[in-house]
Amino acid sequence: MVFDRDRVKGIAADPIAHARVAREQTGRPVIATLSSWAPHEVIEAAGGTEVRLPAPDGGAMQGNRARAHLQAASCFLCQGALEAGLDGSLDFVDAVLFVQTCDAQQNLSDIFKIAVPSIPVLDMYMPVNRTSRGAAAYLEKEIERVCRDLGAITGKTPGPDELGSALDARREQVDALSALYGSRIEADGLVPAMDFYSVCVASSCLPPSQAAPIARSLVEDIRSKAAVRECPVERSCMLVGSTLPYPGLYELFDRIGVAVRDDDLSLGRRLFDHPVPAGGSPVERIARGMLDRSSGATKFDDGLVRGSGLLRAARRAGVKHVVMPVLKFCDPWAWDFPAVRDRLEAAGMGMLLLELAGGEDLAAGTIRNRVEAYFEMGSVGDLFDG
Amino acid sequence: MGKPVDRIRAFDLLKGVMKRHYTWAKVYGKLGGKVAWVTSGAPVELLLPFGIYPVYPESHGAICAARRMSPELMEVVEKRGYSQDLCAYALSDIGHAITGKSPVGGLPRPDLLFCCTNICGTVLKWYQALAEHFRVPLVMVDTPFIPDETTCAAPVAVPPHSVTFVKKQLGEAVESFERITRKSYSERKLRKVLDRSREAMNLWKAVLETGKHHPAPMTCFDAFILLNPIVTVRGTSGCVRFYRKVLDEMNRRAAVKKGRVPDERLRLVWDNIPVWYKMKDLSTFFSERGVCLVADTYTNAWADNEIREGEPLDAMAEIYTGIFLNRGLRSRADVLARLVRKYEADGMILHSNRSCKPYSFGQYDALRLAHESTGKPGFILEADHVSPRHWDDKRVFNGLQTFLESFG
Repeated sequence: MVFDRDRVKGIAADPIAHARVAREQTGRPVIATLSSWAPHEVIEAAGGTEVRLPAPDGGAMQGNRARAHLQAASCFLCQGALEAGLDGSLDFVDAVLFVQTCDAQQNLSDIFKIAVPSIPVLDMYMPVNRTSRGAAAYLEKEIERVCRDLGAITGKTPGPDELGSALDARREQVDALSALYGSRIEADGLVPAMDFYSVCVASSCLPPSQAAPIARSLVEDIRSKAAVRECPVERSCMLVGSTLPYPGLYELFDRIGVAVRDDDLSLGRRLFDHPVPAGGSPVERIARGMLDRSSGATKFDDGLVRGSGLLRAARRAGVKHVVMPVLKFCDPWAWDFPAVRDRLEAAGMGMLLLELAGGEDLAAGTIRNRVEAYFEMGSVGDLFDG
Repeated sequence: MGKPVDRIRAFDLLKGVMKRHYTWAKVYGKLGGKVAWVTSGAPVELLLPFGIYPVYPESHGAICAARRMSPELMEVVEKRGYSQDLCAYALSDIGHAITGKSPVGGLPRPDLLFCCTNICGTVLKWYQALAEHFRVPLVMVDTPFIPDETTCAAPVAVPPHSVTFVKKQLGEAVESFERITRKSYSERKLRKVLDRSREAMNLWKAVLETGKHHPAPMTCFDAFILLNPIVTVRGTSGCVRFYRKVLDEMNRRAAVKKGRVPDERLRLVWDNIPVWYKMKDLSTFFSERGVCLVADTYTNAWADNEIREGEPLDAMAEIYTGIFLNRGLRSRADVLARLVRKYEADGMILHSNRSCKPYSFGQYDALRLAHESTGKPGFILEADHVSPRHWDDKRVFNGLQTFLESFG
């Protein structure tokens, strides 16, 4: 299969539009989610297609309807999601599933129920204390409840067989994305960062059976180009943060010639960074997979030193710089920045925080200036470091 | 009409209680006792049987804010890369931890940290930062949020699997405390502490309910101050003794119709944490206009739930998971409307608190719901409970004046 760059890029540019068309063509119910902690396998097993609620664009942040429900200092991701519900962009969606992972999202769920009564809202709580011995049993009960709630929406309550098949499909997708990220260093300068982002977005809103071949086709594309590589890219980095649904950010790195060698993002490595567990019932396996995932900023793993996993990943990727783009008023990631930066700097690495308001032209303007200036300074520093 | 009159005598008692608390906390650590920094919603009763002395950064943060020291503490932390948009309690507390500065001599160094997510997710990040700073263990209890149903509030009962999960974590916390103190868990001791907590909370509830009298013998500004012991020394006999005396005083005032606000003409309910650094100005502003804030959702949170008798960890798991701030928007709006009715209030003031997202998100809809339920109007006051950066005297008092004029 040849990597169809234009098609995949088109999906990434507007996953909501893609989901609307898919809904019309296939009749498969669409379940919108806001968090990467959504139980993807359960949505698939219930016969649904998942799509991420949209992030805010420029227009949504000025004089929007969401402001009648949310204060100006509310998480911008939540503002964008609510605005989409209010402006009719989600009128084709069968339900919204909120997985409560932070103060903003858990309140948004209840606001959404009031503000957008035409769209059913489902809730799920993902344990914060994942190292408790009670976390797995609790999560299994939550997953069972979500199975029933989703079944009421889609008309297909998933049982062990459907969940087992969804786990198999999920494993295939995880393997394909793992292989893709494994070839990332090889892809320096050959394949734009935008391609990786596009594949990840497509993977988040296509059934696994369609998404896995796309990831594999990009691996093939990289391998065919690697044979004719002329010179390696000199500047590289890793991205870390929450959801980052802005293609412009990846275009920025491509334009200024900085290779993104790895990431720790919801629409990136965190889509697949844990193996699908074997053994046990499907519900147990799904729960264990969620509890084994890397923690991100919203979870507590007893004994975890913040930033240590990122430091290992940055070393593995061979980068000296980590960029943390954070949407405005995203508290969990804003909290982690100083600790993570200190850890990286102590190891001789640099870190750049980018606070995004949503809707700005990321490939130009202030953000571009900041990134360019940072990497130019970084390049000078690298020379002196020898 | 004028400023609040007839000084409340319990304030003098309170000074003594709090002075003893902070002094003893410092001495306790020096004598080799273990000190824990604890979030205000944490199941603190669990610590006392182990002889662990709890202190509350949030209470200390309120004092720092009231004494106008918070901006100085926050700046120290912001220079280290923390965003100005984060919780100002947390920022000023971390600033205190780094600098040791405090208007009351500061908190003793902790031997452990104990946080519970029932008040917000921020406490986890805040206490992670403290754990890294002090290099001490962090014990946390995760209480699953209870969202609304589609068109109504969630049932009052906490889902059984949530109770099981929280109880499991309470058991794990006990194991941690046993390791840290090398003492064994005693259910008998815990029951005794819970009995005292229950009694103090009932007394506190009775104190707040004296606000039902016309005129009310106290305002919510008094309650914000008198709240301190139910947060900081809950589970002790000193706490029970204090609230007995407060209740006596309030009952005496109510019996002779001694109102806290001269010529009370309007009664309002407050929502959210107070604006600590503007308490006096706000109290004077309302009092001068004959407006009494007779109740509030914040101090009510320590009065609204009774720890049932029975197996202690089960009872604690239920009560600490089902608290006001860990429930959905409709539940919180219901509490607001209930207070308006119970205290025969004429309206509501909702402090949209920039620092406290879980308390503030959804307030616009909460006000709409409470208004539909009670027919009473409300006003959203934009501010921050600790940071004066977002306060504008002219804007706030003009807005409040206009709101009050709407009552005629």
